[in-house]
Amino acid sequence: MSIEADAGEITYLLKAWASGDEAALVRLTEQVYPELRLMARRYMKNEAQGNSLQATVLVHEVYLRLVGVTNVEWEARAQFFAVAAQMMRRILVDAARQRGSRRRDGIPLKVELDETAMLSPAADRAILALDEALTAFSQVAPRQAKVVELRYFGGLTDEEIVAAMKISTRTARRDWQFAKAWLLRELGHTGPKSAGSQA
Amino acid sequence: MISERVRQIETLYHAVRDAGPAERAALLAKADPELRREVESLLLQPSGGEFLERPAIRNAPPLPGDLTLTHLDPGACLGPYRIESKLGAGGMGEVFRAIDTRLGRAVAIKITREQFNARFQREARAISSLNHPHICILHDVGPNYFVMELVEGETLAARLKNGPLPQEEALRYGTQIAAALEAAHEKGIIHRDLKPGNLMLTRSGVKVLDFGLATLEGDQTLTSERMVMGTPAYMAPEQREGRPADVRTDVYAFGLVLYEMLMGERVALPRKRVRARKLEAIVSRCLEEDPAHRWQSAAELQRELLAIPKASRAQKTASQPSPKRIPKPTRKTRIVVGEFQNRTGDPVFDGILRQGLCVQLEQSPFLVLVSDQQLQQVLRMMNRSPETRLTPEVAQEICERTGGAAVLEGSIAGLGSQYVLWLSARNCHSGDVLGQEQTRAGTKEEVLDALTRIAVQIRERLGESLSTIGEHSTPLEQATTSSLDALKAYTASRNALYARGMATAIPHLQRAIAIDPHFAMAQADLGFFYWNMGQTDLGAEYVRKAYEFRDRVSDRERLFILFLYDRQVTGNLQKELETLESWVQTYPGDFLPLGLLGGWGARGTGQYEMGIRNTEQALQINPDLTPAIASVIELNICLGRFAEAAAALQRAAERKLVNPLYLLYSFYLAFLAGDEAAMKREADRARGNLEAENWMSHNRALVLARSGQMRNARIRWQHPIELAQQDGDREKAAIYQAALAVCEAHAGNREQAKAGARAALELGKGRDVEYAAAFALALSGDPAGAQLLTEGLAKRFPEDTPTQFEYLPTLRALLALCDGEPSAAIERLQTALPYDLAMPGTLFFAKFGGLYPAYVRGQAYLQAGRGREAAVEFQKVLDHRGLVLADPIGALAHLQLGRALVLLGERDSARSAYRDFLTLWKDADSDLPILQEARAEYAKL
Repeated sequence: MSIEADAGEITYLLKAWASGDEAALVRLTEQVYPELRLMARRYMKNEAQGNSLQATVLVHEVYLRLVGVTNVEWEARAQFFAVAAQMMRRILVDAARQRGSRRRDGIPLKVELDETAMLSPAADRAILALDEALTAFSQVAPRQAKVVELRYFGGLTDEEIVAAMKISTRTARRDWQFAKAWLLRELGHTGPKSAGSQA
Repeated sequence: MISERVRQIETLYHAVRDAGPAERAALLAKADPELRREVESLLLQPSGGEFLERPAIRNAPPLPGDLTLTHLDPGACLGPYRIESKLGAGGMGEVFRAIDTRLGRAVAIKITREQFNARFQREARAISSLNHPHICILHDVGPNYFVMELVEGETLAARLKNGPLPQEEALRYGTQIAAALEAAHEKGIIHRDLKPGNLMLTRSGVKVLDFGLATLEGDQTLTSERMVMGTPAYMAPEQREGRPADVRTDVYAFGLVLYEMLMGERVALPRKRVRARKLEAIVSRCLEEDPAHRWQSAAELQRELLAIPKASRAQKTASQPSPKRIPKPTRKTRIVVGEFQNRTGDPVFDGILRQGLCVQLEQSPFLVLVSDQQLQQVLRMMNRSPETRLTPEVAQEICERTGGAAVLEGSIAGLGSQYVLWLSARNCHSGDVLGQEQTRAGTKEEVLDALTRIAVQIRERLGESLSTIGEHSTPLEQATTSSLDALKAYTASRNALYARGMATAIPHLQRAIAIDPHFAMAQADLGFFYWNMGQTDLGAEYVRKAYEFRDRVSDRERLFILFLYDRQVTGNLQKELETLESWVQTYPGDFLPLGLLGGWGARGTGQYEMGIRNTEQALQINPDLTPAIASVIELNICLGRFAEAAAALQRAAERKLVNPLYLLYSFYLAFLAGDEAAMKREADRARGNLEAENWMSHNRALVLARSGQMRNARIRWQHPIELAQQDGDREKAAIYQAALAVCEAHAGNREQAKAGARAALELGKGRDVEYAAAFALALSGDPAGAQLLTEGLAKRFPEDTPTQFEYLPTLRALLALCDGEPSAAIERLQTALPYDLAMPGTLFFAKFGGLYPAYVRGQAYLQAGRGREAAVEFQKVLDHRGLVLADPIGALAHLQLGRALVLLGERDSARSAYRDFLTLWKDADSDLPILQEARAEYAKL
């Protein structure tokens, strides 16, 4: 399904949101989510075929497709990435959950051959566990949890995190360091070496 | 906020990490044992940790593909259901009409992109037990589909596109929805996604669809991510924050829906008030942020709706008997607050009562006060000192000059130990008294209270009488001239404009500036109209004059002139948008900036949705604004929404509105539908309408060129070119000639193209003419000539958005292609990317040249041997028929796509693309070079 998103509308929504209109955020989500999901699928397919891409490229490309280069200033762009990161989290977590429930219900999964290598229940479990831990963490340390969301799910760079959250570079680094230690401890292990190897 | 405990852990964690090895132990030793254990456990974690360092998307397995339904063709079976036809598609999936083969019953099947989990299926089965006349029955649930009662009708969302519902109807539907909610809530089922798109209007009333389905998929423990599950715009605050939904969540959404039915638009901030007081009270309580403050149940809500007395309902309809009545928008009416005379002899009241009155009146939703700043400006124009007392005579003149409807005057006098306040409103055109109020204050301290009282009273009176005045008199536009005769001519031009279009307004404006050459607004309008009619150079001249006098005009007029200056002199569309936006903010009741945003600002930057939004808003203020209706039609065509465009045309016809542009749009809608008989009919209708006839000939010539009939096209083009020359409209003659040259170039007729381009430049100059001529030259082997024009454009239009972002990149890319450097061409077109779908001047004035950056980029990719990318660009051209219209690239893109597919080795698809092209060109002149190439290539395939 191709999505005809309107760059003008998105620019407008970003501005409205930046000036405090919360309703703009939800409408923004309506526009961006389907596109992001589409791109994520394409991205992963590429990845599975061995064409490695930078993860940041994903949100950047969604941004370019929906908004364009010159329209919005840097800060608004960072805000966009933040929204995208949140949605990315939802996309990945939902996908993992669905695969889980389909396995349980015995619905056969139709997969292409070259994707099977990556199709491991362990990876699904890891992402669901992390999501849960992160949700709990955000109750006690919301800012630090946000940094994880932007970086881990959104693939944002330090610089972008700084702009999106209006914090210093030092804080961004320290938050990441602390949050990572916390989450790894909560997950009770040092994490799978790679997603597929525990299958 | 971070919890205190975690803060302690964090602080110590960082302190220890920052410290040297010696201090670490000391720091840890000082902490209490629990804290120490926490921090130590964190310090044990590896600092690299591949799992988190790799972004999630690299760890995650691939997303499941969209399960829908390329394979669900009519006749396909899903369980016992046989698919008949597709009814629609939405965010979550697609809806089909199907037959339940067991019962022979027609049903609707909604198939989602995602598989449901077991819990979802379980809960959905509970929902299927709901049986209520206003709830759409859920028959069955499969692994990724629901089977529902087939409901015939239209959704409320579709209905609301035509404006608000009559109050009576809104109330009836509202009551039915509330009853449906009550029935479901009784069984513990919450809808969670109530919105106009989920409400079907049928002959038997409303049917609520998708009960409880919104949040069933997924898991309730999820919090913030829930936001994308339902429909965000209709979510209650608690849903957005991820708190659990309950019946009051539906009450909130109900409030939004009721508001939208009554007002015809979604709730925006700040929210407009619903006219009817009782309904406003109901809506505002639904929309309380805190669920505890809302109506607590649908039953309560239903009672409130039913309690709105039938009598007042009946009255409402009886007082507005005309069935054709357009729902009345909240029209803002301008008033002038005159002097508040102080006859008490006590100087304490000097000035403050007028000020206090203004503060009171500004709260009114339908009154616009002429601001003090405006007053002073008008006084200056009247050659009076800004301190002039606002006596009844002065106030009345100001009122007339500012297009106001009424003047308010007040006074205060002593009466023994008491005070009497008196306030009256007069129609400033007829002098009739619209209302008078009087009140008393016992003491000096009570005077302000009394003022508040009296202000509220007069507001109510004005609300009554002004809404009628507004319908029966044309308010004067603001106009800056000290000559009443010039003002009269200007008023005549406005009337002519709205009645018969721009061309008829021009003689009046010429007369106005002959009487008063410093009449800035008349100059500005002249500039604007000439520009719109395609005489951009002449238009810019008048705008420059208006710009010179910009300090002598009102704020609003200055904004208009700045807008024109950005558009016509510098061409900086970004600045133009900013000017218009600040205008909308300063004068929210003014339809002009909204109309301009929709009509002009939106097109040059390709923000068509934004344009429609603003134009619709302008039309709410002034429903008969013919140019705005033209905008709605054209913007919808740009977006490829041809049905919407046709509907807007139809509405204009029903209201007997005429505009030469409507004929042209009808012609193009017929063209886009491939209906040749209708095209001919529309062309015939244009006969006798000079303006339209001329355009029509040009556009019919384009249609011929698009099918490769260049010989016929050349003949057809003679007519409009000559006609424009006879009218002294050189620029228009030139752009038509240039269009012909570009078409020749596309067809490969190099010599004719070069000659045509030079002929165009001789006929007239102008940004768009020069661009089109350069385009034709570059495509036809005269890079030197093209280069010269390109550099000229770059120098003359350094700030001009279309020049900088579309024309120059396209021309420079073509020049690079002449040099055989496709990668340079691709790079030069990078800047054009955000403007690929914008409307360049050639398209705006002469309906050709849309999507050229994409088309040229495609050619560059072809030359570079990058078939995949080339195909994407040509597909883009084919996908935007509303922007390409009858430009020949609409046909040629098929051929180019074919070439791209050949590069990719996809020979079957390539053959079919070639065939598409050859079919479109079946009547083409057989000697056209590009056609011969195409045939030869096709033969090889």
